Amino acid sequence: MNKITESEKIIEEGKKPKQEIIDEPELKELLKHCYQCGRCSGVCQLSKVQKYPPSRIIQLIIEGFEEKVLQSGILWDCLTCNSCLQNCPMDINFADVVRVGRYKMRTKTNQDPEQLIAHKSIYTSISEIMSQSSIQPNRDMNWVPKECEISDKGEIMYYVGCIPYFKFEFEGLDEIAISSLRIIYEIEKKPIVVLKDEICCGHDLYWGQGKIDEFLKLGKKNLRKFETAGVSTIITACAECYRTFKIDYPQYLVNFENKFEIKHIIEYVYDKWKEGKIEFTYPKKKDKEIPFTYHDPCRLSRFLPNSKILDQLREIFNHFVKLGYKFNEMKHNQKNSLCCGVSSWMNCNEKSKALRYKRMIEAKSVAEQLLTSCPKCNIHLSCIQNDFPDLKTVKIMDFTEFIIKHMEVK
Amino acid sequence: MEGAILVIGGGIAGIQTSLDLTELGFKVYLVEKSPSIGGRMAQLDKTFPTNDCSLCILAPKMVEVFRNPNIELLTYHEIKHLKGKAGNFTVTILKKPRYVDEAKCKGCGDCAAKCPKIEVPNIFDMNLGKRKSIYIPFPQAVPPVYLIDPNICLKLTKDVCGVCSKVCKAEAINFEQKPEEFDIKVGAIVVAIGFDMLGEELTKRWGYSFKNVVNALEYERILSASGPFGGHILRPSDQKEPEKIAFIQCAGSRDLQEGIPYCSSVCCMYTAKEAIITKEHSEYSQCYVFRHDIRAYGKNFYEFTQRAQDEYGVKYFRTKLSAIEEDHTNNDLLLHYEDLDTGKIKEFRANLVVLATPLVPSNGSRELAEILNIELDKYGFFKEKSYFNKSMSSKEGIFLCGFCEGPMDIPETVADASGVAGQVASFLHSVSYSQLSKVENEIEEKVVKITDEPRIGVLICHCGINIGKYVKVPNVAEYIKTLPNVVFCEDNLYSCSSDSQARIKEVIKEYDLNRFIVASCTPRTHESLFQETCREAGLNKYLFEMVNIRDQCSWVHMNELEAATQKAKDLIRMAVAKARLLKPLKEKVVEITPTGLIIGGGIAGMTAALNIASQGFKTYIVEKEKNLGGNLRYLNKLYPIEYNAIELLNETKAKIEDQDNIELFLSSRISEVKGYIGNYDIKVIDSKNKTHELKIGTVIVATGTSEYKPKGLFQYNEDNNVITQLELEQKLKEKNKSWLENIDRITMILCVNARQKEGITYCSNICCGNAIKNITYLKNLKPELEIVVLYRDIQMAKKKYEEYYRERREDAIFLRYDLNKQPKVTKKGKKQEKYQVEVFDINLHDIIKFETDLIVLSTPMVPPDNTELAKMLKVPLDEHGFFLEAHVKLRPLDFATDGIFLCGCSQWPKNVQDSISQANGAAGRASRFLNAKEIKSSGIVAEVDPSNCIGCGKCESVCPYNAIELVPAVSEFEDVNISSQKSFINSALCKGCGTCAATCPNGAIKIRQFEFGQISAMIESYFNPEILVFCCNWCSYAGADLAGVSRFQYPPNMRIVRVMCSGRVDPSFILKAFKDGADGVLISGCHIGDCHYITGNEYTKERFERLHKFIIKQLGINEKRLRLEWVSASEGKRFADLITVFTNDIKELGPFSS
Repeated sequence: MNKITESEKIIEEGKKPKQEIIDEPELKELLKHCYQCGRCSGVCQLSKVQKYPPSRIIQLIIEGFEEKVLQSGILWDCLTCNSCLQNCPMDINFADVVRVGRYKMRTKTNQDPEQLIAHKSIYTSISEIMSQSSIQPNRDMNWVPKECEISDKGEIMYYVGCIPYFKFEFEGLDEIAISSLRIIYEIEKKPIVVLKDEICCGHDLYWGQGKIDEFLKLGKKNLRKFETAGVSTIITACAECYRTFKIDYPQYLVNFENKFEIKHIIEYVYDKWKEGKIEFTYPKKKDKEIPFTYHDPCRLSRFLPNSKILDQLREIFNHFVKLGYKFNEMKHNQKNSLCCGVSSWMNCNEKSKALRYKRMIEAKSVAEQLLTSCPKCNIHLSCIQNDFPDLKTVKIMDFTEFIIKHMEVK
Repeated sequence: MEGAILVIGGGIAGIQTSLDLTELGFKVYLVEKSPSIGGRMAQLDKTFPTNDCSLCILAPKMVEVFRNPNIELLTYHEIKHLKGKAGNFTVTILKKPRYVDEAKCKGCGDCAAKCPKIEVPNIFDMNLGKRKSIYIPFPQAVPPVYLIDPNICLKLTKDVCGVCSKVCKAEAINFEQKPEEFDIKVGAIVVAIGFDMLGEELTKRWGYSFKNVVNALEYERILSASGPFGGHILRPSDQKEPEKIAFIQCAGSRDLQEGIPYCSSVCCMYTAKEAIITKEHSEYSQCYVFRHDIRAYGKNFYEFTQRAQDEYGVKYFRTKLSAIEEDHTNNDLLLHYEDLDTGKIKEFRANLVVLATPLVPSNGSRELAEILNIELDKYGFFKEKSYFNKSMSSKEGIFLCGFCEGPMDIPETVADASGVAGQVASFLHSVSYSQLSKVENEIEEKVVKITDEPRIGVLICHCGINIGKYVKVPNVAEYIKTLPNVVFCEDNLYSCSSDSQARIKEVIKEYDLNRFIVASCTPRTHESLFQETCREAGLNKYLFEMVNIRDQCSWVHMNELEAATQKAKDLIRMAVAKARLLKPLKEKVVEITPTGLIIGGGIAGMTAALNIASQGFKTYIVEKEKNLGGNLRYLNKLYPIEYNAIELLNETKAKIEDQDNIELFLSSRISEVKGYIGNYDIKVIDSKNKTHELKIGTVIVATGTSEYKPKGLFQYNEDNNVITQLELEQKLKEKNKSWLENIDRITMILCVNARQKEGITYCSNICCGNAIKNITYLKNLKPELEIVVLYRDIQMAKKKYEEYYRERREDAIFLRYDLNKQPKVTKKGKKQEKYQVEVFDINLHDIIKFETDLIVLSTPMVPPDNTELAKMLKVPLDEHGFFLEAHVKLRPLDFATDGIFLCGCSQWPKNVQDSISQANGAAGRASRFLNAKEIKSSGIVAEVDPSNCIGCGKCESVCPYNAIELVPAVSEFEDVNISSQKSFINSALCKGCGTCAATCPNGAIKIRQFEFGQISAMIESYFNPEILVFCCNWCSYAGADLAGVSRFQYPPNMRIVRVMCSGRVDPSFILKAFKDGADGVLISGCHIGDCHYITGNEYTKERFERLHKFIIKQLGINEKRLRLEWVSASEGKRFADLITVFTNDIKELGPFSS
């Protein structure tokens, strides 16, 4: 079996394969355990809105038609939501097959999915430009709250991600960065590393675009930046950055996981709460409890089989009952969450619109507030509200925005 | 009857008439005595009140004339004789020898470069610039053909030299040419010979003979970027920048001393414009305007003159110049004048003086009048048949158009031109379409599927030595042959020659080509020729692509053979990359329902209806009142003729009744408008509340205005003896005049509640004339009556008005008041109403108090509430509530939305004559479509991929043509149905600018011929050099062409990608360019306000700023690497300089990625 695709298992077993060379296994090799039960097709989120059965694609590849599958371009459609892996009795990682397949489609069959990339590839171009060695970003730091001290060297880093670039088209995302930094700073009470020349983690190039070379360039560049900054802990509020640092980087970058402790801000908040450093409060008791819910991003749920984040979150949320809130799960939750509709900036279309609509209908039926921990889920779910004003009754916000309103440092 | 028309004069009037006439189904002979069309407008730098680049908006029309198969362009020709009568004229035309064969000349200019003859003053530059003996009048001349001045040519005068014929590779020089005469047969003639501007002819009073005194046309050339000083404001004596510039208005007009009794009508406005442009050129210059009345006769014109003062700091003096002297030591000018605001006699030193000298009938008017046997008026302008039909000459079948009838500005001229075309069409209605060239494609179009392997043919042109000498063309051809999918590549001497066309057709067949590329000169002039050739070979014309290696390689990199050759290779390779992805496009045909709807039954609406109905089309008038006539019903007499308004009304109504094609809906209103050009479904609710459903082809809005009621001002509404001017009209109309008995003195106050800083800011143009007219009628009724007129400026800006005004000065006392010192009216007397008036008379510089019995207030015309109608028609209103036309200068009667037109007071307050003229114009514009029966849209249109459309509606909000609509759509999926919206683009209305595509967040919109993938392929194919430039087709690409034609050299490391509008430039293109290795990206479009697609460039700007702020800057890309610059069609020099500066900046920064 291929090492890349085994990533999660390898982490479990503590093995550390390091690869500088990009592996291009035959897709067949990744699929040979499949016994064609068809469960994947039944759970595939995309198959609900388009004819796209993973099991049949798998069978085609197993029968030796890999080239045909690649040439057809069908693999560009996959959401890589990992619902299939979640349900696969044989642990077939179809999302990884798609990822490797996309790399092959780009390199071997010379396909360019440009027309399929949402927002006309603006954001993936940005990532690619950042992978160039000569590019040293000069990011806008005006969002940094006055009361928070930041530094370019230190122990704890807040890794912001691509939010500042999203401002080209989307509003209100600064709040995520502001809330995150405030949470960390208020707890640590010392300058937090926020890099003016921070670059992209490369998640979308890796998963969505089949651009592994550029992904690796970004990885190495990031490694150098983290080392230069002298950080030991990297905290991020983004589901994609987290998965990338936590699992994908260590596949390629020697000792990455030993050098840095990667924490999602949920874990960080949870730990500090448990350590007794913070408490959640609310100025006055509400007359009526506010129902809220949480949309689990795939990268924090299905993509992290052994993570405790989902449980930690629920523990925090249940505690909020005391503060006048009511945490309600949506019909599909945690590892069975519905997809936000778009992944890695691929395929924003009416099908994705249908997926987003379904997600928001579920949210609306149980909550007035919808939290999530992925800026892109946030963007996609907010977008559908513009088309369906009745969905606007649900206020969408990031986990950190919610927490900062109720957090008290002891 | 002949179905052909002779148009005499190739200025904007002649150009617009010709274009409209061909669309109405007539063949046109356009005769112009000078070597190029374009006329005076081509000489202007900018045009008021939008400050559009004049050439940018005119040049596309000139090219359109040039390309139009139904216009026979006869430049450098003159009219000799006329025989026959209306419907069947035979005209003898003289072809003057150019000594250059028009068919052979490629306009390359090699001849002029080598011509040894000492340079002589260039007439186009008002003699400020120089030209050779063999010359082209100006770089954008149409036709682009050289000619020899026989008076100075050494070969023709002394039989020596002849070097031009030696260097001309096209063998176009022919010293043997002789004048030739030939006859043409036409059904009607349109005279549009424009005007001249005086200079030397003026008396010495104006100092025109001094070196640094120029007339306004000369100053236009000085301002022009393509003028003698390259757009730098320099004074002629020492070519230094003047600091103080004095503009003298009325420099000879309204002046019996100069023999010009009329007002030239446009000087107040162009003076304000020239002063503003001067300030824009150099902020240190100081502009002073010496003015008399300010006559801002047109839409938003008054505000424009105010902006010159308030925003640009242009100082206005109210005075007429007394004397001018020259300071011999430095050629400064000393102006003597009385400042009427202070009453002081003063002297003013100016470094440069610009005279607004009179505009007079064109030289040659008299001769032409004799040949055509038509009358001139006392001013020497052509005499109109009647006041109500100023477009008809004294002879049937001969029409007048534009300034040759009397002073008018460009929009009025354009409206007039369309009106003339409409009238000619209705006169020759029976023979329309009889002489149009047939454009039937008998060759079956070859089927090209997207899946077919591209087979590309490339022809590379040497253009004599114009490309061949500076680019290694054979090397380029060898290289291009090696590119994938190129199955044929050849170079030749002249790709545009007729044998080349034959060759292209041959190779398309021989090699079974499915794409074709010509690398030669600019697509702006030659694309249609090659497209036509491809079509004749059975190849869809959109499978053709053109590369401009002359204007962009050889002419601008004359000393860099290698680099120019490399660039040519790159440009062609980019075109090959695009060509692989070209698709055959269909031009959608939309059938036109042959009916017209006129909204509003005033004089404008009635005239428009009559015009359309007389062309044989069913016409509906919807009028909200129960009677036809609008404001005409309230008028007594019409000025400056002694004509009863009621008579005109009755005559017109009678014609309407007689016209079977007209159906009236009185006391009715429009309740619903659906559809688009040619196919409107309109619901009308009539007086009985019954709804009628009409199928309409085109719509004309003629909703009019009404007089403002000045409640609370000057005791109005409180007393019986304070009335408005229109109320006075009605009193004068009444038989019973007993109300006059107790009245001894009447005071008229003009500009009541108008021309202010707040509220109604505009001048409604017609109130002065109306008030002045009534002086006479009042005096006739009661000669001993005393009339006092309180005025600010008298707007009598038409041909006969000035004299009309002068005569009435005898019958009244005129006191001039100031906006800031309004007259005061207090009531006196109890039984009989009497008023005390107190006014500060500026002319006297003192306060005057007097008593009066009746006060008549002239108030502005205000539009009715048009909001609902505008919404239904999806057309815009301006800030005052008038309807807003597509382009104030060149499309005054059109809306941006095709198929809807406007005329009369719905557009702006105007008098009866102008309303009639505009109505005929709007009818002419509208009937072009009705006559055509169907319209073909261009293949270059936007299309939505519904599966990618998320219904956000951003595209709809940026489309200036209302071509995009969000329609409800239901998407059905296995477990959910979502009803949302999808964008739908009506290709009949789409103009293909591409702003929607660049705005679409999801790439769901395709612009045919400029598709995402096609442009992307060009960017990818561009892997070597440093700078990528996006140029809009209309201004910046033309500016780059002008740099080429003018041989302005700039560094060779940039490559141009042409797009229709800068609005098409997707942010993703820019990021892609950087990603793929560009070191710099320049986006270039029309100046703000000049956009060919109305607002495209505004979105470019907004998008660019966001891209810069949120992406480029944050990515750490040096902001100098991405530029947005506006380059007009006349800014060739600026384009070259810009590229030079940009290249140097990039060199300093080093490569983008290392």
